[in-house]
Amino acid sequence: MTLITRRVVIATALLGAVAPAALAHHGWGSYDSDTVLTLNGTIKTSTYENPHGTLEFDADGKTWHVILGPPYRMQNRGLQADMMKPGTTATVVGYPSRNDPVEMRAERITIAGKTTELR
Amino acid sequence: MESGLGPEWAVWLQEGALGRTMRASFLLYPLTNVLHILGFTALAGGILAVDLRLIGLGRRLALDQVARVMLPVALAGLAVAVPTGALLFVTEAVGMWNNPVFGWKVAIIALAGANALALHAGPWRRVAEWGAPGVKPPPRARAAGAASLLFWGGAVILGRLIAYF
Repeated sequence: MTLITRRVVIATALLGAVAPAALAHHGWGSYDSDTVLTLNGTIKTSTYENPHGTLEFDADGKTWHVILGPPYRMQNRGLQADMMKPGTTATVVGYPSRNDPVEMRAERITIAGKTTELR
Repeated sequence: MESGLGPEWAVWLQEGALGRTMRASFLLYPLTNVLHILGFTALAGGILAVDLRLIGLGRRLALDQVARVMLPVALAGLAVAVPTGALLFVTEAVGMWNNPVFGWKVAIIALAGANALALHAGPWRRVAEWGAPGVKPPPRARAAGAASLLFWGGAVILGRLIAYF
């Protein structure tokens, strides 16, 4: 085949090979946004880090790994790190991971009557 | 942030002072992201101009004149994109190591580099002739331009897709 054709094939193959790996790990595409989870529970631990904060969250008899938002956004919207200390009760609404049964991506979190949108 | 399941060097990188600072600082991570974008915009944009001319667009302009202006822009962009990219990598080295899209992005950039080297080692040596106004560049040069468009376009796309995988 011609030089151009060969290079087009290689480039397309590279991009196409990515497709089967879709939904792996915890990229934004790996959450089931047709299923809305509402978890009422207690924060075990939290991180307030880039690219996004996280919670280890005890709810429904399990410890959930909850994906929050970027620190700058959370701060901007009034959700400070010290509001998520261990032992704090909270309600988290979000989407479950397709790969990990105890991971979810939070759309919003309610602590002490205040709800913060994370997306 | 993903942790654990990764090679020791990646864990060591992300848990070091630089990684911890990147994650903890409110401004550093978004700022590094923005600078990375500006860097690759100049890189991809500079290369785009030369590639379009290579495949025959704007033949009224002499190719080596276009290149003389735009390639330094591309190189300046590269000089910003690479270190900022390294900082972004260090922030979550384990996650990036495990992310197939990141791997493909690095591979496609390597291909783009090889393509550029082959062009400059080969046909480019006589660019004053075949890059002159009104002259159609030879097949090898046109192919290199087309491939470059695909590779760098692909790199930009893959960079954006990292977050979705």
